[in-house]
Amino acid sequence: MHDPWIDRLSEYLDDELSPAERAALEEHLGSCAECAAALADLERVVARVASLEDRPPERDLWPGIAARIAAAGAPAEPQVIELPTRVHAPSRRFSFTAGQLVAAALALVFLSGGAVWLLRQPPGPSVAAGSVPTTSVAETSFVSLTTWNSYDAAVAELERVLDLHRERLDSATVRVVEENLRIIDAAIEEARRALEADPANSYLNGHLVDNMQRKLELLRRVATLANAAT
Amino acid sequence: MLSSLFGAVAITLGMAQPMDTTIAVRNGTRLEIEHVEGEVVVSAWNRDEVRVAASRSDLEVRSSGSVVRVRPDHNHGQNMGHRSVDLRIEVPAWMPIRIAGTQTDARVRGTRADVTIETVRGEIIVRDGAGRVLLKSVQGDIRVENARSRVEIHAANGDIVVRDVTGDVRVENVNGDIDLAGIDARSVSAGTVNGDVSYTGTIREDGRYRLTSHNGDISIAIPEDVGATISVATFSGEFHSDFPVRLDRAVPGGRFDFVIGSGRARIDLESFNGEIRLRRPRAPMGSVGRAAPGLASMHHQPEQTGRP
Repeated sequence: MHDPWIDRLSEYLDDELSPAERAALEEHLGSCAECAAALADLERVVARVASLEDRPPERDLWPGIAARIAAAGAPAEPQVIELPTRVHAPSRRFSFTAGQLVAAALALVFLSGGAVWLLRQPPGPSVAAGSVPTTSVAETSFVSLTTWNSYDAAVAELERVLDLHRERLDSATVRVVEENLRIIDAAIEEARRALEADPANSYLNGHLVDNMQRKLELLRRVATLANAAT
Repeated sequence: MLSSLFGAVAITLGMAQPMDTTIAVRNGTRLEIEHVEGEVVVSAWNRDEVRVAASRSDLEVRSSGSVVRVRPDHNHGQNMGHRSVDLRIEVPAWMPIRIAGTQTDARVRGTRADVTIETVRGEIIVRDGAGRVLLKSVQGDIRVENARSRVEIHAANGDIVVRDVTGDVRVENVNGDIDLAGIDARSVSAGTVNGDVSYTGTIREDGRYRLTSHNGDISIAIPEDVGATISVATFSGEFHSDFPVRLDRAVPGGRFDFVIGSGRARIDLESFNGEIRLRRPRAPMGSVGRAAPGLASMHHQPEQTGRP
């Protein structure tokens, strides 16, 4: 049964409940583990979004890559959400419901890359391709096939750029990068397998997203370095 | 005569001998260094001048507008086989510094302005800073010490030490440990994949602290008078506390929370495979098994964390 309080947590965080409602919700939080967990997740997401930088990506390849992925790899009719330039404006209201929490967390994968687009599709039976995981995970966890497809497209594009200029990096650096990518891939695979057994696990979903983000960030950084090297 | 140096100045010397040149700068000027191989040491002094001493002289030192640039002189094409150069640079403490290096050991000391260092390979050390510190590296250890700064580090392969820093800290790593000690910050975020993460420092009432690893251990020192809500998450790791804690609730989603004191600070601790440990500030790290009386110890299995 749907808990009506769970949809009021955003208002609670934004201090928009009446004193009576606030007191009632706080009493409810003491006895409802589900709402307490959702509130904790919401606080985490808000904190992580707020901690993102609005750094101008100097010498950065990402805007072009993001645009190409959006043009070539996105579903036919994606829900594209324009995000404000400064995502950490103090006055911003985060109106997530519990069901949107992890979708917001997934946005961090792309936000930190400097892209201003976010594909937010409900899990669905879209076509799996490449390294997209088994549909049993993607269809039931918060990490949807759309996200996997977008992620794979971003990884493939960054790897293509890196391959193009690989000779500009010394062989020791290339070995280190490849080893680090293997380490991240192993962590992603472990998290993915764990999610198969527990698709709704918010920790595992967040952990998976963190490592996807980490891989994108490393690839992006090294591809930029290789591209800039003389 | 110095005033003429405020305009566009380019100094390019032959490569045969070391170089040592000094140029005057106005407040507001920044320093940008491009470096290929060797060591770059930057320290602050109390003059409005930039002094560049180099082991080789095929460098370009250019002051133009509000930027002083130090970079290889690409006109000396015959020198490309010998790219290693060591730089000793002194700058006004107010001068923002940016170093872009390839195989570069970088050391910066004493500046009160922003420091940005991005290297592919090499060790980075920043000491006694007071501006924002942003460090990026692919391979090499990184150390930030004794700073009143906001510190942000994005590394991949190497250990990271941040010690005696007042200011928010954000550290991302892949293959290496993260050691945060003597930190006074309202916001701390540190994560790695293969490596341990440890934190010792203040826990502010309005603070948020997030330590994560995939394969490593998490250790955090919790002073006795701290009020915090602590969230612990693991998949196949373990949780230990050197002091008694009462688990108020094990929440769905692979986490459990508990509150100590006022519960106002927020502490998130996550390790997929490693051990998560709460200790008192003076307790030695890694002493699990010889823990203090009252040790609360939980061994988490996936089914327990996923479905309390």
